[in-house]
Amino acid sequence: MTTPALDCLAVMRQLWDYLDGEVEKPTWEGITTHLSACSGCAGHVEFARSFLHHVGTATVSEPELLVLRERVVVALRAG
Amino acid sequence: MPDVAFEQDTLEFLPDLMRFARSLTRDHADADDLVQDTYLRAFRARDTFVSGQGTRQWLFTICRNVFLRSRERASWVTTVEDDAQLETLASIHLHREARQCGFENVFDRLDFGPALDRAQQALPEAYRVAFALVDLGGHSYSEAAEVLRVPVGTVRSRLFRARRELQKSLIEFARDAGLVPSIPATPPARDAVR
Repeated sequence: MTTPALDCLAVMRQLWDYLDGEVEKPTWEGITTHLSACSGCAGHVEFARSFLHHVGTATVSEPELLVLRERVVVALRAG
Repeated sequence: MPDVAFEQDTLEFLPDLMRFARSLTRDHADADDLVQDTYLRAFRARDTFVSGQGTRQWLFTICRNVFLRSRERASWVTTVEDDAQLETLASIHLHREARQCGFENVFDRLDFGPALDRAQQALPEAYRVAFALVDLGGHSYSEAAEVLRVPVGTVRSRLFRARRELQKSLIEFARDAGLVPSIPATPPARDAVR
């Protein structure tokens, strides 16, 4: 059975779900197909993807992390 | 979970918990206290937990519970729930405005980490926590819903609202920082979504 083609509004309503991998496979495929042919929607997706990418790489500083780790380990071993 | 395995099985999640705790408390010292308390409580309850079955989610749930106990519950739930799809479309509108102002690649050009930290501080707690669980902690919508004990739809609407507010703040941050708009090489693509 062929999945009906998605229009721009239907695709954009599911933009975050799509990028988060929270849509079913047929929907994911339908959106991907739409994006390959629609530069307007693809631009919106790239903007959102760029935001998520930068969020994912914004990490806490390593020195602060090491200090906290040491503190937790000491607390755990002290019981 | 045997004592000897506890540290090995749980400390790998310390960076995620640290970011989550910072989102909850908005204060680094309080966040460190919260993380330590979380680990101690988890350690004391280790016999009730089966290793390998959602350790990270277990820790996040404890962290959330410890934090909630230290707060007035009323302050936790006083947010208006929005429609997730409308929030998504609002984000698209925001992108359109950013593009028209020459901020198409704004996230690439910002000192993103500090700007994101600042933007997060301004978010209402419920939105900030949904964002921290999914986008910083790597939880799925359903995992975040379990930690927060709310429906998945509530996680979606809070998360999407958080993302929109953060994007808006980051664009404003770029403007305030004097970031020069880039001039589009070609006219913006036609938008089918109005």
